[in-house]
Amino acid sequence: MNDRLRKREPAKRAFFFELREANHQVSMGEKSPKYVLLPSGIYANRAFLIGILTSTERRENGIKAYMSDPTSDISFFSGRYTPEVTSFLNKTETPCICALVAKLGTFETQDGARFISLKPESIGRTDERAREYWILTTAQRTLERLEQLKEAKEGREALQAAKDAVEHYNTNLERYYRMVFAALRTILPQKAESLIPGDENETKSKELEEAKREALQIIERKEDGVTYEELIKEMKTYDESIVEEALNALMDEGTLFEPMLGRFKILEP
Amino acid sequence: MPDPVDEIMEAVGSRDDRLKEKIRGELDRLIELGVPPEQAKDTLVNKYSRAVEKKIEELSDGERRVSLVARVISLNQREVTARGEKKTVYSGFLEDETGQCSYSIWQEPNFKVGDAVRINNAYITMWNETKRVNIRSTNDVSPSEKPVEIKREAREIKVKDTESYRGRAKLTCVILSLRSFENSGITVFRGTAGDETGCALISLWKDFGIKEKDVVEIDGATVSQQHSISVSENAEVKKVQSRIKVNPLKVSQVQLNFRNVPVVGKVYGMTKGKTARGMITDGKKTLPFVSWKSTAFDSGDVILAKECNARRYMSTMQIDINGEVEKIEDPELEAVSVEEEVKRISEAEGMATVEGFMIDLKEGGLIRRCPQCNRVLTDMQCSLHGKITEPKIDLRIKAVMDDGSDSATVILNRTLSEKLLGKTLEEYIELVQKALNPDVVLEDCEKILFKPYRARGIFREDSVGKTIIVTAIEPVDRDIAAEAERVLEGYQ
Repeated sequence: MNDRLRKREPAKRAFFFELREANHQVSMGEKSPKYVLLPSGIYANRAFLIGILTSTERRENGIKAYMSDPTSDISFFSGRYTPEVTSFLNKTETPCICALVAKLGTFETQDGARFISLKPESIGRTDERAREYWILTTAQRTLERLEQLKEAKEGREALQAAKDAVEHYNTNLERYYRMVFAALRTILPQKAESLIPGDENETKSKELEEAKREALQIIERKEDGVTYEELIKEMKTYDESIVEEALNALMDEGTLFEPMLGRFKILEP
Repeated sequence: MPDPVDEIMEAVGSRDDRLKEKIRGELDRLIELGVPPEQAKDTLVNKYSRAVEKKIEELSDGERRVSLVARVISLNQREVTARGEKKTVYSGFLEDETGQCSYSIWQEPNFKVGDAVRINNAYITMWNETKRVNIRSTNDVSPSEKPVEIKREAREIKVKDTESYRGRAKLTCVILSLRSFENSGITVFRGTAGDETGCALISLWKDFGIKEKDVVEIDGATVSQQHSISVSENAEVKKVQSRIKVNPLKVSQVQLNFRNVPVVGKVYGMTKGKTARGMITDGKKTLPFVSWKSTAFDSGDVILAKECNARRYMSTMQIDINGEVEKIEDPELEAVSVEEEVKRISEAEGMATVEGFMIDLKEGGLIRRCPQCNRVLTDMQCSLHGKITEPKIDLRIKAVMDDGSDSATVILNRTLSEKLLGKTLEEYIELVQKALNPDVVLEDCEKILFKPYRARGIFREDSVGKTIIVTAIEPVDRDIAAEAERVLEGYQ
């Protein structure tokens, strides 16, 4: 298509955690561009990402790259159709701070699961300040969307994309708020660790309760139980030590049991 | 799982086995190259879909792979210089039962005026405010197997009906303004027509011998766009001896390029000297105006200006008031609150400030301009003055800024580019000419890519998107950590 004759699609901002959970692609009409519905309630044709380029793997037809932001990591592939991106990835030493402009799409695996795909358009190095600004503005944009999502969830008037996200993903608001807060905490001013004694403990115990609740929700959904690794991956927004503590607490309470090492199930009453 | 190739064949609408094998080969290849299967499928469906046949009315700017059946109304040729080569471009008009549009082709046509033709694989652009069918080659044009039926019966309309009516029309109107333009070897007469219901732009594709202020009866005009009447060579245009009173337009009814139209509105924010300048509003739309002759009115008055032109000034529309101005009583307009208007428009078009990332660089850096007309040269050619041996070297940055919800092309002149890149034009010229570093400009430009900036400038929006001619730009300077803290506090 001739980009000069069509209005440019803006590059939407979303944290990697959210991008990874997106799997619904729509086309608004025969000739219109394709959009991916993101779980916080926005249709995106293109995205702008900043994160750490953590590693690259050469493949026969190109190169696979991994990027990470405070919420998750994400991978994309660049082949001969994006020679500039491929050549950049080939010559850039990892890790470094990178910005990526990518078209969004989805693909289906052989077992029928759908995942997001990032088709890179351009890539380049950037700096820590740009990364922090990206985190702040991405958090702000995401929070705005979550407000709409909340409206939609509670059945009030909201943007169509928010309603669609509720219908398609039934997005867990709490998880997404936590994801944004976790990202924002990484760019807070460096203060002496907790000025008021006790405050830290209070926050921690609150977080632990949340972690316990979420771990239970995840395990409840799977009949065969969940492995420790799966749980850690699903609970990316938590520190691993919190998840471990939450699991221990749940087993102590007798809510969970470990039928074999590293696999957790809910103890039926 | 269904065979994706079958799905493609179905979408393409073909049962050709040879095509099927070809598509299978290409699909395998795409998937092997790492293209997600869904995307590969879409690509092939797009590639092999037969172009949709369209009517002229349905064409839109930017469409590609269009087929249509139409009658050739006119054919003209002219010489142009493109990239240093002399070429002949052929152009004219086409019509079908839904309307008219222009066309162009860069080869000697294999058709003549009056032919009904089928055109394939054309793409559509806008030219002179009309749609243009761009024909790639004579191979794409063949005699039509079916005749083009032009509905001769034209509907009788009033000028206001041009808001929604499309098709052949018969109307009586007064010609408020008329000027001739030379274009591609054809003389076009453009102007404004009006009646008691409203005004519209009018173009006459031949000299019908009519003048401004004439009242005319037109049979066989075409309305193919809002507020625009097109009168082709074979329409009937007759001067009649009746009078038509054109009712004054409200500001929100004024269209760009209207001339000699009467306008009513409430004025405010006036400054007076030899001319009077200010804003005129109807509560829905507000435009700047200049009154060249009359200054005998003040802010807060509701006025009737009998001879107004609407023209583009900077990036917005402006009303030029040429004739006398009359103060009138109009309770509805008197009730318009100027304060609310001011608030509403301060956020609207004019100047804009954007904050976001530079996410793409467009053609720019060191550029060559024509020393006579300042146009940017392509391959040392000026589109107006031909080959240039001593071009003017200039520096400019053209980039895309994106804030996550919208994007705009930003254009930085030499001074701003120098400030942002950290070197002067002279320094760049020296570095490049001495071949010390031919890529130095590009390398420096890349330093601004993917960084956040705040830019202010003159804002413009058209069918291609938003553009900001930047007047001030700086890196984003915000206390990010403090803002992050405030956002978190807001949620606790």
